[in-house]
Amino acid sequence: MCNASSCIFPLRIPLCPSALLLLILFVGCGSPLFLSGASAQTFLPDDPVWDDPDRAHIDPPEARDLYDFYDFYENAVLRRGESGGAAMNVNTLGEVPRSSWYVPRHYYDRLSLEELTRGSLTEDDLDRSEPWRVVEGKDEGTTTGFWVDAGEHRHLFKFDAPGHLELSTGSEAAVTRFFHAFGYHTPENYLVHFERDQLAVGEGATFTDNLGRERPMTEDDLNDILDEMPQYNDGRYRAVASRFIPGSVMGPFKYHGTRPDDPNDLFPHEHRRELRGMRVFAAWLDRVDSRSNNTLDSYVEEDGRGFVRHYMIDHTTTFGATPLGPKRVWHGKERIIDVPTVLTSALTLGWAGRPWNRFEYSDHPAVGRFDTVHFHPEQWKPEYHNPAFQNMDADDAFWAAKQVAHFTEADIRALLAAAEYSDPAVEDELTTALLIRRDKIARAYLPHGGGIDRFHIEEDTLHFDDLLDHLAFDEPPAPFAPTQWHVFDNDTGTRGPVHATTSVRNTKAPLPHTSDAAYVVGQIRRVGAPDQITEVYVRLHTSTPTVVGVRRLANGPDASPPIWTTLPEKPPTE
Amino acid sequence: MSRCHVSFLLLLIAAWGVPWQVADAHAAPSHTLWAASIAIDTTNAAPRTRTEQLRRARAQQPRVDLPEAGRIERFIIGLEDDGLIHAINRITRGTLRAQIGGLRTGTGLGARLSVHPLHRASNVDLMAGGALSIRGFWTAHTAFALQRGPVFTQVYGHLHLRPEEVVLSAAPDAEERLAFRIRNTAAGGLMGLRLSPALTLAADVAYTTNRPRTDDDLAASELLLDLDRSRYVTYGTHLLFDRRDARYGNAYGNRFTPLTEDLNDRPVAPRSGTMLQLKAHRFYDTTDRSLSFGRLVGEVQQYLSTRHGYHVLALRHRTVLTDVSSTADIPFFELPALGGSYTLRGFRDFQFRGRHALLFNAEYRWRTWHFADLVLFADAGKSFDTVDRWGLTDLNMSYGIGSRLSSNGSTLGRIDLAYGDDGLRLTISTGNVF
Repeated sequence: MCNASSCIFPLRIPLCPSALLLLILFVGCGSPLFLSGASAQTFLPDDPVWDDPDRAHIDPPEARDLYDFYDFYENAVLRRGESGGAAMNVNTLGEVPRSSWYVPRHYYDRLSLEELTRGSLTEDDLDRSEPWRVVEGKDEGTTTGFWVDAGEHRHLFKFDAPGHLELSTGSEAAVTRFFHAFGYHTPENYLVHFERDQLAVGEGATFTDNLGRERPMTEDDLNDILDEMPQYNDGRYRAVASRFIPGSVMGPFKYHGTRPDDPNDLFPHEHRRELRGMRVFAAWLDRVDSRSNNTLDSYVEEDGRGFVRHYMIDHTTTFGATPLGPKRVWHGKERIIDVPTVLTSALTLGWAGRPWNRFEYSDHPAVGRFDTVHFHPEQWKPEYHNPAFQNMDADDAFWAAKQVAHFTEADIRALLAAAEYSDPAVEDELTTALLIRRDKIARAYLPHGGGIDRFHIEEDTLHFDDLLDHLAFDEPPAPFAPTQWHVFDNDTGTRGPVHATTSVRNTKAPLPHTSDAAYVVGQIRRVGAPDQITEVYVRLHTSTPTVVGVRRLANGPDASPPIWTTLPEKPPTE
Repeated sequence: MSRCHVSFLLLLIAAWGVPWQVADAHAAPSHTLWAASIAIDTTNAAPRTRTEQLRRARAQQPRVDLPEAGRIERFIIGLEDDGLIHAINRITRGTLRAQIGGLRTGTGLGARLSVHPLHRASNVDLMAGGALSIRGFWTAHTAFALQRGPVFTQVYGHLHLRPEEVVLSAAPDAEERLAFRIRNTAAGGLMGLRLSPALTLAADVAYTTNRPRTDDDLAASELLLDLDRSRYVTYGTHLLFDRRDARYGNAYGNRFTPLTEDLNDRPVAPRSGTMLQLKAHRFYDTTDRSLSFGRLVGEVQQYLSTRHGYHVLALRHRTVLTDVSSTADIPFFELPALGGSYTLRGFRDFQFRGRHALLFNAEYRWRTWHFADLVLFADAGKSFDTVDRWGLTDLNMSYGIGSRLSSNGSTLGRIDLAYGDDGLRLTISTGNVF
């Protein structure tokens, strides 16, 4: 496990026999290496861990702002963050443990349709016992909206663009639930329908006009804002009421480095699997503005401990929507600055480089531009460079794709039900698009390592799920070749020769019979795809055999010891 | 000392260094989790579980305050803290507005300032302003516009110092030209009716005077027909059918007045639609009526767009016909001119003059970037003195390539490189051609 970058003795020193002997005696007797042999094991007793203890008490970090222009400059121009390398924060199964960032949800413990629709909401609706009080309004062109107190909670009210009722409010309501089902922390986004008299300007409310001047807010200001908002024929308004997240807001997190004033923030963000793999989720839902300013850190206190929890917020620019109306046709296919595409277009009079601009989109104002024909998951692009997305590797993509593929049509419809589209055709159209995109994602990423997962042992037999047995694939999956089992030495990380071979039937592979091996590793592959291998590590020396490790290989057998969780060489900060 | 002794000494030093290195690693966790597990203090037991490893690694992590923003970050934050959007809004929509751009053909780069004290009102616009170009031309203007439902009205007044140039011979040589400065004043008003969102009818009346000046008195007197100044009352009608996907920011009536160039709205950059405009005006000479004339202007613009506006074929045709009695003549500066960055881009400003003019422009625009187009264009046109020469013969041709920078439906700037009889001509402008 000592590689070139992490080895504690990287220097090459000319050796002679006497020097070597002294070194062995001296270092071997006095150094911690001798004392800490247990920690050199590949699998520790509590592997696989499903809870990352990153919620230790810390004093509140400093709140900060992050600015759109600077975020763009930092990512699109400077391209911050470490490139390459495997995700660091995974357990030995390759999964992301529960943390302040992530809670394994739908894929790991299927949510009911009702739970999917509800998402993170804690109430059915806002408190309507008295008029909602507008406490702050703004008219800044692209982001007109206001803050509203309803009951004991404060909300940001966000509306649709004129002429596109239900477009962005629908996408925000639904995609917030999608992200909750994936496992991210999300705000409580309530979809509300209301009449004018449900709103009143609160005492001390302020209004900022489009020239940046702040003054006391009046009912006329509120009327002016509402005049611009689309309404139903019966005069009702529709908005997403995004409830302020609990705790003290610390500002957005970045997709690279760590927060230096948060000791719990151990893994560089560009090496967190839930952020790297989020590229697949973002591609599925066309969340093209997956940038720092659509995240939020909050210092929360639970069980006497204060720590930072990380939220994904603002899912307005998803599906075919933006806050200003339908998506631009280039969204998801081209970055804001995309030099190769620009050059290709310039040199070919615009006839090459953009095959997707021939796609005819839905003409429904609540659907917008949500492409299926020219959607290619591997080629999907956010608006600008995201260092975590950029680092996504096959393991990250598999981790996310298996979750995407897990959503059934019923699940998707339950999530879209949160958007409360008044025209059933909208839900139908979006469902169809999401299913097509889901299947493209499945075909792109699930074959990694042979496309199997959910390993567990029952009655001395390894059970698993064949993820390629999915609607996305036209052909039935290839059968599995017999599994080769090796004895695995947990102390050295090495394996012995083939110990036994067992056949795989109906995604079940009997464990080999061993009398003295504490660990075995089985290599599962399909007939006709010898290089796509999933290694499954089984602990035998406990009362019941347990799957403790999973490693997926795309280039044939790999005799090197497996590595999962790693700590950064030097804690990189933002 | 033998090589073996050297290596022995080095290893001794290295071995002694291990505890120090371990302690250092302990202070700042490094390496893989495996490496971290050996890099621990001998006084503590090694973490034997993954959870403990993670917990300990975090406990060992130093807490550091957020770093101070660097110079560039402070600059960019400053832009946002000051509200760049607000600043742009103030400049373009506030009480005091600023704009960069040429005043009209031949003036060179200019800048304008205007005051809009009623900018908060949506249907009323009162403005006063002025502009100055780097070549010393200037303008001052004021206007009041009102819109109530389908009816709009506007009164205005302005004072210009603008360039004119006349070719003394057919050869496009600088020595054969004479440049003038025209001081133009105008005051008038208009009223219009929007019959539908696309169809508008308007009528206007104005009083204008032009006083030309040049340093070459001999040539001037010959060209100016011994005029000290011309005085006209103009009146006429406009018919506008506009289905372009272009948006105007300022008062709607600005599109109809002679002030258009000076109150110029955001230069629109349509990508689809049609525009048809007909203007019929009578210029009544208030001095002795001998220089009175009538003018008919027709313009058609068509934008054919494919692939969501990534490819646009933009076409414009303009015809100007002047009705002059057989015995009368009119000052040259009242004749329509062709040539320059807004008409025939491969020719000099004011290269062609005549009672009548015919102009065709075609542009193939393709979007290379979200905010930029490249353009291949061809211009054709001619000036002529008798109506029977109206037709597609004897057209002056130019063609070239250009680029447009645009945002949100308006053109921020353009560069055109055109080739015509004069050779290559480069135009850098803030305005669109059409």
